[in-house]
Amino acid sequence: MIRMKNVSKVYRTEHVETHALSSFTVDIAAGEFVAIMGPSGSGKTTFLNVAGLLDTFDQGNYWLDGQDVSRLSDRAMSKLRNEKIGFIFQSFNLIPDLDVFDNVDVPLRYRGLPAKRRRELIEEALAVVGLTARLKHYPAQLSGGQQQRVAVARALVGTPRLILADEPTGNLDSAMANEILDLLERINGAGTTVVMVTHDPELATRAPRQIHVLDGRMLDLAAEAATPLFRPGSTIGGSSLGEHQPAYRG
Amino acid sequence: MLAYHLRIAAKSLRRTPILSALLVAGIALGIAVSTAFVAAYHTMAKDPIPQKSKRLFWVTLDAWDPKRPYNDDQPKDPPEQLTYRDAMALMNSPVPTHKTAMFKTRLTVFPNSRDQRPFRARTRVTYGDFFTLFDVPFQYGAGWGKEADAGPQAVVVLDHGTNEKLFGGRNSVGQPVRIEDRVFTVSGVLAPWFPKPTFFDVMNGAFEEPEEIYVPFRWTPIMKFQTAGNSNGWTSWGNGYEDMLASEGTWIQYWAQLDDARQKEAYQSWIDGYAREQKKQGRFGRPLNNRLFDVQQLLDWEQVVPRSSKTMLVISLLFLVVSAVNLIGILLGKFLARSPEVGVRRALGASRRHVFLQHLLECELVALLGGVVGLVASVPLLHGIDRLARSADDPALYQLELPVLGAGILLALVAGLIAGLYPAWRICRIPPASHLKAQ
Amino acid sequence: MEFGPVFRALVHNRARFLLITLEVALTLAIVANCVTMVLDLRGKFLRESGFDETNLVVASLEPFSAAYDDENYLHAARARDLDRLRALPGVRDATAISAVPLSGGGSATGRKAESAKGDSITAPYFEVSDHAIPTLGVKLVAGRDFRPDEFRDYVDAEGEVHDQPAILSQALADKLFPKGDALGKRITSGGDAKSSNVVVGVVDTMFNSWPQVERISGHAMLLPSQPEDKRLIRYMIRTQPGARKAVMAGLEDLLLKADAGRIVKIRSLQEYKENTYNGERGLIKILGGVVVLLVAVTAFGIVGLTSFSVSQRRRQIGTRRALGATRQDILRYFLLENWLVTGSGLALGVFLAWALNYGLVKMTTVVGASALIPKLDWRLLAGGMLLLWGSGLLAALAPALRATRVAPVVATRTV
Repeated sequence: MIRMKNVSKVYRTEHVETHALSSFTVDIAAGEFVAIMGPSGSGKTTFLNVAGLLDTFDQGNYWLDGQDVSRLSDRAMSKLRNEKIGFIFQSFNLIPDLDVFDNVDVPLRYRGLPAKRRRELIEEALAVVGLTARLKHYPAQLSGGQQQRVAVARALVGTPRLILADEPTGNLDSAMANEILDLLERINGAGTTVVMVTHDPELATRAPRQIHVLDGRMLDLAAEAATPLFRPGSTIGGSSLGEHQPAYRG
Repeated sequence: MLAYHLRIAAKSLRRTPILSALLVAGIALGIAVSTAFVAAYHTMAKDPIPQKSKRLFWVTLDAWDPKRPYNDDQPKDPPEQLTYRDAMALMNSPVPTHKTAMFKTRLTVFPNSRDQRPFRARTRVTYGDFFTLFDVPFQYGAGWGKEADAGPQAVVVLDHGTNEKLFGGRNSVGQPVRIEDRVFTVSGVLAPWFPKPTFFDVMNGAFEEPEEIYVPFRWTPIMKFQTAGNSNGWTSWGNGYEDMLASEGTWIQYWAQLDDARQKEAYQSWIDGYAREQKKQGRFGRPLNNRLFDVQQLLDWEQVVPRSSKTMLVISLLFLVVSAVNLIGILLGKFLARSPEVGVRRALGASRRHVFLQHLLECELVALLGGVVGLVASVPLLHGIDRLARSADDPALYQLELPVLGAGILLALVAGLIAGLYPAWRICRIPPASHLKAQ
Repeated sequence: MEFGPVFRALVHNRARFLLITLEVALTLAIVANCVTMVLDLRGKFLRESGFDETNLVVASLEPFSAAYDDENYLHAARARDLDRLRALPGVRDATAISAVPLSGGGSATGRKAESAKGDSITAPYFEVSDHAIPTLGVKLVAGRDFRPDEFRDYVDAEGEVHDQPAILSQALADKLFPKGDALGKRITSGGDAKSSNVVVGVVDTMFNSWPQVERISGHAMLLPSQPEDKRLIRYMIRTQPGARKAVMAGLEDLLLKADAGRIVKIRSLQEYKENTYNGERGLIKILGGVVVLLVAVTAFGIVGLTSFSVSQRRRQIGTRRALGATRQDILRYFLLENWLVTGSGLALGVFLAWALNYGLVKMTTVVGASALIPKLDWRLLAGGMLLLWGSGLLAALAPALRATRVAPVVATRTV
């Protein structure tokens, strides 16, 4: 589903260059449930942004669902986001002046579906998260857990192949957090790839595979043993190449 | 998609009602001010008789002082009006389709009713062709024909207001009216008529109401009509009425309808021929300079559009620019404050184009609302300008015509577009990921 | 003080601040030019005309009775009318006059000093009966008033006048006789016409019928005459101060009672003048309105900008407060920001104002007349800058004061 090879991302300001990703290489197969872990500033959010086509990268290659997305126009990227990816954010990011129905509707609108089809899909998605009764509520009238369930429905509604969740439980208490995790597991069970960024090790263990990110590089604990494709050595070797990049790029 | 963008834009405006109202009010103010002054300018600068303006010609002959030009500032210009004798000579030309000599005077009208005191009526002394030349609309009856131009019958045409005053608005065709010491018969009553500018006589104010009564030119020497309009001479006007008619003083205005280039050429050579003839008799001491001005050329020559109208037009359009700049600033602030929402939409699949269009549409919505409010507000504003710039008893001059209304809406949309481009561009360039993370 | 940080913050958010800068600049350009025009128009309207404007009344009579065809009747009627008018309570004096000063309608002829070479100049004139000088209120500064025997007909068989006495306005006398020796000299029409006048007196200021025509502004002469136009008789009546209204109320009846064979119209000289200046007076109000609206729009823009600037920086303000900034420091920060923005706008505005003025002068200059708008006066520009700076400061004050009320605890709160 997600295949990155030597992806590098450098943030530049006038005085400093920050290597958010250095020769990042990863392969996440379709149908996997992966937890991304790492301390703050390690590059896990950058990874998620790049994976979700919200941000560009400087070097390397990225195949999303088998398609090379390294050099795509804004329109093509927007279309891929809309059709293949669902996002869930820590702070829910519901649009405050749209009600539940309209919030879930947003991705379908950009897909240009007819009204009847949209309504069916929205009701289906809200049924999955158990919020069919709250169609006309506004975000401010919902609890945090409910808001995040609306966000999950919004991520689901376009039947994406990939769900990217950035600290989806960060603003929730543990009971609600577990509820959301249950939902994600169910979604994953239905065949959708789920990639979740978290710094809660306990939650992370609920994912079959955990990837650790440190200083923009990947440490794939599960894969180390399981897949011969990825060896720590190759990852480190790749990163040393990445460190040469700024000098090389001049 | 457009409908969705529109809905989102409307929602966004409703979310901040006070700010939106101020935005709309701001642009409405700019539109109201600029539309009002565009309308005022348009009233003064427009073609008053588009169906004919290329075929009507103001005729000038240069019989002025050989030693000094008529106008020191524009020495090449002929006098604007004709002498009585030249005008009479020109009436003999068979070339024009229609033609008239004319001037403005004031005559005493004696109402038939005993309760009404006599009054002085603003009068145009002219030929029957006047009404044909200028497409003058009649309410009752018609103008007069060639026989009244020549014959002994005394006829008069009343304007709408004078017919109200004298006959209470009834059909007065055939009724007698005493004017000075003679009884005239009403041949026609005009429908309300006030072309702007009053192109047929810009010498005596291009925006004055047309005359109240119209009488045939043939009565001029008989009743000794004196001009009440502009007159200019370079020799003595003489002593007495006959001397005045024979003098070199210019006070008669002349119009001819020439339907095509050939007819115009023929007429030009006819009047030049007349001037050469006169040279032999010791008149027309200046080089040949007999000119035909079509309506627009005449209006330009006489500088009919006041300088203040042009100035106010420029100032009012600058006012609109300031309103638009104001709008840019506030929209920019408003849009940037909405970056998180835009980030979410981008994540959910909105392309830059979507974001750009949605925000531009919001600006256009503001502009359109402002334009409509502004146009409505421009009506009383225009009325106010009219009242302020003219005396209370003058009829309203400025009109808000359809092309101006269209221009007003167009101005609003252009202002909205210009004001919206930069803010919409800024907001669509924001990286989608930058506002998704909680602070 | 903290000029550096304020400036850097401005540069960081330059787009919005540049917009306000531009708006302030445009506003200054427009306001300065509008006010220039207003002051110029007002000055011209208020210019001393030499006449006792507030106390003068004009009676226009248009006879229709056949009796007026007889010249003797006309003369007698006029003499009778004048006697009645002069005897009226509240009336100081009355005269007959051929045209109404300042009214926009009148007569002019060409005159030059008899000895002078070259062309004649335009000499607007009023034909008057006796008592003209005391009635109009103009001041005789040299020579004498007309003698009773001078009110007669001067026109010969060719229509020329010979040696008709004339009282000139100082401006016209100076123009015809630059050496100041007008008295007793003959002025002639030049060219083929043979008319002439003799200067018997000079009055200081006396306007003609066309006060807006700058080229001949202040040029006028009084000529003694008998009325020849039987179709229009005009009297000017000078009332005691404060009596104008009362006198005007009874005039029509008085004149009709004396002779009903004429149409009578009574108006004050001020009405004529205001009518003449209608366009200008309207323009003054319109321009004034535009200035007020424009300053309001710009002030509103500044309020909006400062409010936004404050609301965007609540956290930052909280942090500053937590780090020890006083309320005064915060207030100073935002006012300084406002000063810099309006200040740079005003600096740019000076150039725009000159440019707009140049354009307007160019656009409104026509051959033979000065431009509608005079050149910019730097004092006026300075005044406009002060006005806009003050308005800008006032507009920024409310949002800036709101900023000072942000509590330091905001710094630690997550949004």
